[in-house]
Amino acid sequence: MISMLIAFAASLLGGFFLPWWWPAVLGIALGFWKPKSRLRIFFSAFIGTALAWGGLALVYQTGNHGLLAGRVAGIFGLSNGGWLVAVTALIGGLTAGFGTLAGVYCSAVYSMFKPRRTSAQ
Amino acid sequence: MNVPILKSLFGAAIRFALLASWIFLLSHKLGPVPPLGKFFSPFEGFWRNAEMVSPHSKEVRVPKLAGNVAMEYDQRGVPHVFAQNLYGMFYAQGYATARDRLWQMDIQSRAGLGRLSEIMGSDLLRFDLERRRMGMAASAKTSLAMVCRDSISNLALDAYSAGVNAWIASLSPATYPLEFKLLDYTPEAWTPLKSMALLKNMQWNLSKSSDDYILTRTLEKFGAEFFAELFPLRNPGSEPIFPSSVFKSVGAVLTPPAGVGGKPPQQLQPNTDSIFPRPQPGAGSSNFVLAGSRTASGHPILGNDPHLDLSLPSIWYESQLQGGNINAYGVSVPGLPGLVIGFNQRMAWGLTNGMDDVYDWYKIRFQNDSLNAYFWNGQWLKTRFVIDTITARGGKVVIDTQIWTHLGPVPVKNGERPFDRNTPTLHALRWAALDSSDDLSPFLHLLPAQGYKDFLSAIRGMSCPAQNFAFADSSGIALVHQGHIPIKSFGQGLTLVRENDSASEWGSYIPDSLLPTAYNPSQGWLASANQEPMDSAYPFYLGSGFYPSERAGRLNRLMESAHHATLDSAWNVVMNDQSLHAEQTLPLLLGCMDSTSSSSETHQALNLLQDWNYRYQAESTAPALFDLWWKNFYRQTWEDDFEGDTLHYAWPSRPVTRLLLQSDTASDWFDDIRTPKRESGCDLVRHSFGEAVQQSLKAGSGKFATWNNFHPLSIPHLLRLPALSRANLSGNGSAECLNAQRGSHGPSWRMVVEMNSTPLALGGYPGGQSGNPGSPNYDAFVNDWLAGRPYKLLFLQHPKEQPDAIHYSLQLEGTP
Repeated sequence: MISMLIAFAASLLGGFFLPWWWPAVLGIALGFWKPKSRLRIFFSAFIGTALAWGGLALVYQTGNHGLLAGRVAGIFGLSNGGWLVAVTALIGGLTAGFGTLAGVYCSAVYSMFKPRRTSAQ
Repeated sequence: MNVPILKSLFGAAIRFALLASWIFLLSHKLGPVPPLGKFFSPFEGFWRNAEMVSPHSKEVRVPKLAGNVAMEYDQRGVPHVFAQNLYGMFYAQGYATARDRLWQMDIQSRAGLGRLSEIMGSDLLRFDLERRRMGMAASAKTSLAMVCRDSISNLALDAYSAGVNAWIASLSPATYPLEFKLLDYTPEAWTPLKSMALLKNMQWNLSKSSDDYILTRTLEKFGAEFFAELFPLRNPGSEPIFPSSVFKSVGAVLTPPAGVGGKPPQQLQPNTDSIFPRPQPGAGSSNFVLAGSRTASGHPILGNDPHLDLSLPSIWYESQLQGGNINAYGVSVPGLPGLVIGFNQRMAWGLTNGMDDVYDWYKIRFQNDSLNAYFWNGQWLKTRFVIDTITARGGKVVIDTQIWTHLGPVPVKNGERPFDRNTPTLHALRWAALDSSDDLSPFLHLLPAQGYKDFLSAIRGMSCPAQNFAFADSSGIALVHQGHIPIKSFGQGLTLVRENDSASEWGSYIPDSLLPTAYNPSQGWLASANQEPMDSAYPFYLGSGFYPSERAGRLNRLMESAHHATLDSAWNVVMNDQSLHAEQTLPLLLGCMDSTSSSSETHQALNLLQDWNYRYQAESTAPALFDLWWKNFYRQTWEDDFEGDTLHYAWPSRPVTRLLLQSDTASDWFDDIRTPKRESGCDLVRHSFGEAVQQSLKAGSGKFATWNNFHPLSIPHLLRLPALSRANLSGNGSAECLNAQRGSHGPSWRMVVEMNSTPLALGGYPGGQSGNPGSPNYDAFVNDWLAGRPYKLLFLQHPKEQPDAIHYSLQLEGTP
């Protein structure tokens, strides 16, 4: 839950001044931090970021009365602008989720090196 | 290192590689698909183009501007610029236009310079190559040097560019217009050269249309006698723009150069591979001026509706410009400073395309395949080669050698695929649009003009293409056919020119003093609709591409019957959908029908047509029946003679066909040479009527179909993306009516102005002020335009004059 909130807040705040793939970096950090359950951290990051991206998209969608989304949906052969909110959430969520997978393996590599360093001290 | 560590390292490497690929794929444009990550990100992607709250007033600090400029936006999104000087005014025009239309300006200037493939890939290389080979880019450059000699033009171009660039500098990737994100590229700094490229683009659209090649093929296949009969230099029944009294005296002053144009053309290599559709004739521009004697208020009225290919964003941008000695309202081409059509406190102006032939092809006899030299006037002249490089997106580079003669460019070399079916191989193009000329200056000097004298001197700069400039002020009306029109012998340049000597070259241009001009004629009105400017008494040949006088005739009848004209009645003139073509033709067709018609359906159809008022209304059935009937009859008349080939041969015009039916229904031309029977014109009329009834019933599923079934209107987006276009629109009018809407062609701007002490004006165009598909202003005017509901144009003397009419304002604060 905490990691989901972090994912939500960080992808939202960072999004305004970092490149679009910032959730991937966020995902790596989350995966590194909570490597125990890969599936859980994947979905935490996915849902948190998807909510941030989709939520913001929804704000634009409703504030604009669906005008632009309706037209852009047509470009992609979709019938309804609402689909674009879902696609937006999916792209944001997957970017963060894929980040966690990499982060979890980083953590695994790190933890294997860590004990050796501790023993050497 | 042990195995688990290796495994983990390997696993991490794979995950990172996957993640990197995901990011890479979603950061790059794949074919037509924009970079999905960037594009969908609600922080920088398309969502950011969704306009959420209506804009509010604010102050903006901008570079390269001294002092402040107020921009008051009215309820329709039209900026009213109030500047202290001309520089500030043109600066603000650039800023405001870019704010609403930056992408359109960028893409259209790129089109003018042949630079589309840089952003749209190698598919557009041929497009770019054509623009460059035809000399457009080169001419934009030489014209810029010429334009800058005029101090106002120079100032306007500089100020406008600075204003556009101030807007561009305020953008970030997140706030780029939608299409930059779709095509994944960044806006480039604006330059005066780009403005010139837009001017060239306009000249391309208005004067490139040429039948020279196709007419040559027709002449060669059917012979000179046939050609002379069916392709007369003047449209039968033409009603010239100017009263014939205008030029009675000059007939003897100038005689055309002797010994040119009359020689029979030599054999020409046919080009069978040009498969482009023939440009549809049927532009529909009109303008008119009514003197005070014909208006209810006693003040003159001017009306104008230039018809062009319609697009979203629209070709026009509406604004009011006040600064220095100027206070004017009108429409501009996004990317060009000034106003093309509009009015100021003292006068109004409007224009229609002149349609003169200023575009000729000369067959060039090259010495050998190296194309190093060509034969001219008895000697070999050296060819000029220009090396040109085009770099397409994706890395493909084309290094092209352009061939130039003293006449102009040779766009298509031997063995190359021609750009279209009207571009012959190894011919040089002589085109007035390629001269260096200052075609920007009229649209700047008209703004402060105070009367007829100023108007005349302002439009003298116009070179290509010639325009019918209408003028009205409180005391007078005028119409001037202004432009660079070469002095030619009659018929010269109608077909491809085969002579290799200076006698076949263009002479000087018709002097301004001898161009058709009328000021305050006793009839109290003047009007033009792309038809022949003068009757046959005029001593100069202007070309043969003028439109038949059906629209002009209707316009003239409306002018003659105007006695207490008002703004509203003038608006109804441009909206008029009653067809003179139908009025002249239907009685001829009906005259061939016998009263004892066979089926009840045919009987019913005939009744519908007999009761028809010749109005092309979307919901009426009669115009659909008539249109089908005429088109069937036209096709049946000519398809046997021309073997059904509209691609390689020009077919006789509508007025020629109508005249033939009127004068000689037994003419050989009506006989279908493919049948043993001998058909008369009336046989074809009857046969084509039966067909039309069936077609109408079929389209209407058993009932007679309404006109809008055959008259779908659309306004395509510049990238032809259906989702950003408006299609399947329904409206009144047809190509032969004053309201000459058809397909995606139509009245691109309608304006009527009454010259009271403060001018009163109505207007409207098919689009909206904003180019952003995420703005309600993107297509806000379309429905009103279709229905013909005009807007009252807000012409302000002071920024705070009508606070209720102002939606919000922007204050530009200069930081020089």
